[in-house]
Amino acid sequence: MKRVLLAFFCVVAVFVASAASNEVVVYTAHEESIINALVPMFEKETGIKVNYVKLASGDVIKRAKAEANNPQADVIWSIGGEQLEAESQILQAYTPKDWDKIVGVYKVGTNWLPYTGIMNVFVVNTKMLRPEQYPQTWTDLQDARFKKLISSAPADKSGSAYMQLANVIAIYGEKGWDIYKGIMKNMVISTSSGAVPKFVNDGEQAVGLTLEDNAFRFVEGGGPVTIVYPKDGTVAAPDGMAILKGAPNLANAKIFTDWCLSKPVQEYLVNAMKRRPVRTDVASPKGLPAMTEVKSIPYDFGWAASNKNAFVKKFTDIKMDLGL
Amino acid sequence: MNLRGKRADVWHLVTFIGFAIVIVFLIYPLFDVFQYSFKNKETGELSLANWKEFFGRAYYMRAFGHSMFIALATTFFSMVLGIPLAFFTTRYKIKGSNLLTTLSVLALLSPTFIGAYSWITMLGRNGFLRNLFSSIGITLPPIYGALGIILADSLQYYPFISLMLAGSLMTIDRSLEEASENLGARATKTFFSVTMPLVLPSLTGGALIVFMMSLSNFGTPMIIGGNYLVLPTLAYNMFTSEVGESPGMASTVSIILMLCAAVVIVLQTWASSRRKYASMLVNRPVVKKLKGAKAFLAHLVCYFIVGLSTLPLGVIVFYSFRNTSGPVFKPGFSLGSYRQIFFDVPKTVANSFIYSFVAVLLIALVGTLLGFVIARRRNLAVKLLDPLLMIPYIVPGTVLGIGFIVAFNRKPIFLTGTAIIMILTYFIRRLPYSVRSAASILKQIDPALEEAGINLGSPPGRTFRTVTLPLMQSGIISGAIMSWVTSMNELSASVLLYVGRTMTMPIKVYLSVADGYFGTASAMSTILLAVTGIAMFVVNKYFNRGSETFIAS
Repeated sequence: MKRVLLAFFCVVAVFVASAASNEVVVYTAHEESIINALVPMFEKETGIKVNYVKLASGDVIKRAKAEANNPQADVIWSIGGEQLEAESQILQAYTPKDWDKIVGVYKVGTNWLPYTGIMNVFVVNTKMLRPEQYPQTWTDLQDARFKKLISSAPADKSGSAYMQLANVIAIYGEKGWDIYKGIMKNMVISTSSGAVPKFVNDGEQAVGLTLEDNAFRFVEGGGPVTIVYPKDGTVAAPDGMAILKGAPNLANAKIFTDWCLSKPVQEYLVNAMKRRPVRTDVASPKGLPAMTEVKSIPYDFGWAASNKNAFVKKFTDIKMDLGL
Repeated sequence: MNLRGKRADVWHLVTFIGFAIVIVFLIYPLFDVFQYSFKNKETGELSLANWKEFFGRAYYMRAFGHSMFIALATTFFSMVLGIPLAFFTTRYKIKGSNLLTTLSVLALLSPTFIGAYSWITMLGRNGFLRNLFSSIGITLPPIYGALGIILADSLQYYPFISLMLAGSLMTIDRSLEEASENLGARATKTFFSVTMPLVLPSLTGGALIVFMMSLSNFGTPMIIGGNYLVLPTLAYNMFTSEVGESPGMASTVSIILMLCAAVVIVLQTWASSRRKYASMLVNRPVVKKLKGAKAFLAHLVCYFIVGLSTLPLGVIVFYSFRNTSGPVFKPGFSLGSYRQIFFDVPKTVANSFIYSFVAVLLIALVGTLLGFVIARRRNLAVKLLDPLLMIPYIVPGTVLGIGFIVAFNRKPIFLTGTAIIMILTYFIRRLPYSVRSAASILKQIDPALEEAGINLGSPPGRTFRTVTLPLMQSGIISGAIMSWVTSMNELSASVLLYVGRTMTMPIKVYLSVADGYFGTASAMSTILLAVTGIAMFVVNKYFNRGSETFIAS
């Protein structure tokens, strides 16, 4: 028995010690399905092993910050731009190979880089609501008929939910807080924004606040859902990626970043994942309206990042008042 | 008895190791997290502002009340389910009782996130069971809120009670019950006034675990709570919220959770130490064969309880084979969900097995030794160590995870991103199970048996090996199985500590559920259930040779 145990511990020791050296460590808030598709592609093309950690975007930042004195990760992949903007002190500037091909409005700086275009939308269950009952604007969502029928992630936890909050404030200013509070009264808080369209799809809630590509995958999958673009405006913004200061595998981090922004990968994200591209030479996904048909409003990252603490505090206070 | 304490025996070393473990892996990392609770957020000075806010705000007080209510109700209903199951399966011949026990342990295993989601699939606003009932005119109450949490928690955690109780029902002295019957007491009277008091330490021990699990579980309330606030969800959200950055308040909530748990532990210790019964383990209860209506009723009760708790598992397995198109389920069946996760499966399964297995070996070894020290050597140091060892019970996994990230990513210990940190997390979080179950079994074994060994000149270490250990075997194995099952299932701390190469099955499930991909989550859960089920079956078979003492069989 002792010998078996000893042999066993040896095996474990070898297992523990055999950490790959040619690797890149990536923290990401990407959906699991996207990771499952892209990671093997990258590994096959470059021979570099991707060690990824998938977390909620807030947890990505939290973990990177907690590890700042001994960075474990090389790249943060696909989290909200304003989150990266707010923590730029832990990031390392990098100008990617195809910088000149990136859509101008998405360029904020080189501390973090735009990765895909995302947009706030409403996802609506077509069995629970008739078309004339669909909410058309953010203000519609305050209506009492949506009581407990709106699914949303909490804005103090989810990057995309924060973007929705900022969206309402960006349109309506101070008055936006009353509107968002009205929406919150109707909300059932979901664990993550990725799960929001699932609850709507299953008929547990009638309306969900989520990102366009999340919702569109349920539409494409043939679920009883449709997308409504808020008529009073939706922010169109890139989510970003960045290299961490002190990245242990800096060279591989750069290769990974360039790869993510390359034309084939951006095309893949458009076709398979329904994300909007950040490159000028890649077209938007089929089946989604052109950007010109949507009332999009500009997203000021500096504003969203610098007000973040104040906004989240205010959000938390409202949340507590409402007992959510 | 003058042999005791004469020289430094092996148990002093064990006590010392116990303290070392507590200091390095609990106090050191937790100190980092908890200091925030007593600091002013802006100035960093010592302050009680967080505490004032907690007790001054209706929001927190309500969450506090909800948490206590959920934990108490879950404990109560777990007993309602667990006691009859344990009694019937140990005292009467129930056909397929092996299967029943395996299924109920598997229910324990299903990760809370996906278990709660299964309940929504069945009883949610558009759930198929709800629709079924409403088609025959029965309107079920809504599942979101307290009701749903209690339902899901009770049906997941009751095996803690039935397992621990079954173990001790099998080891009590049969002559006591027989005496009662010979004196003319009815079976029910014997059960309540003789059997129950005898197994009270195990019953309250199991109830304690259920209370703790339910008090610190954030997965179920998060999915099924529908805005019903409980403290662990609050703490989890505050610790992981991106900008809220309120480690102070999050720490405070965690400390309060821990205090509640500590109070309950003290109560349980008091309740189980008020009366002491020890058994010579020579006259064990026999399994009776029931006939007619009684047999039918006993089977019905057992199968109903286990069936109900297996329902969510059935849903998971069923959905894992359904056709999907992206995240949407389609009519018909396929292996699509399995195909999507295939590239990650071998590594993830191997990781889960290796980490939990190594952890359980350590847990069984260290836990048994510490359990012995706690049950048999009540000196001052041990009295201090006992409650300290219970800390992992009451620390929410998220808090421990965050403590580990900070504490073990700086000098002198760098462990982040390694398999070691995952194993250590399992080890430290599940150690109390093993300590407790070893200690509670020892409380039922008469110390006279060991004293006989010592009086015959055997040193304490050898007495332990040759006398105590064989008597404890069933307790050790059942403790190890519980530790293993819950390690395989560990999510809340490891999700904060994993990197790609240390991915485990529950983490993979959690990630898919969070994205709304119930198909792939179900597929991964099914694999988790299958491999665990097979492993348990093998263990059952191996340890079951002629020994009715093996609890989980």
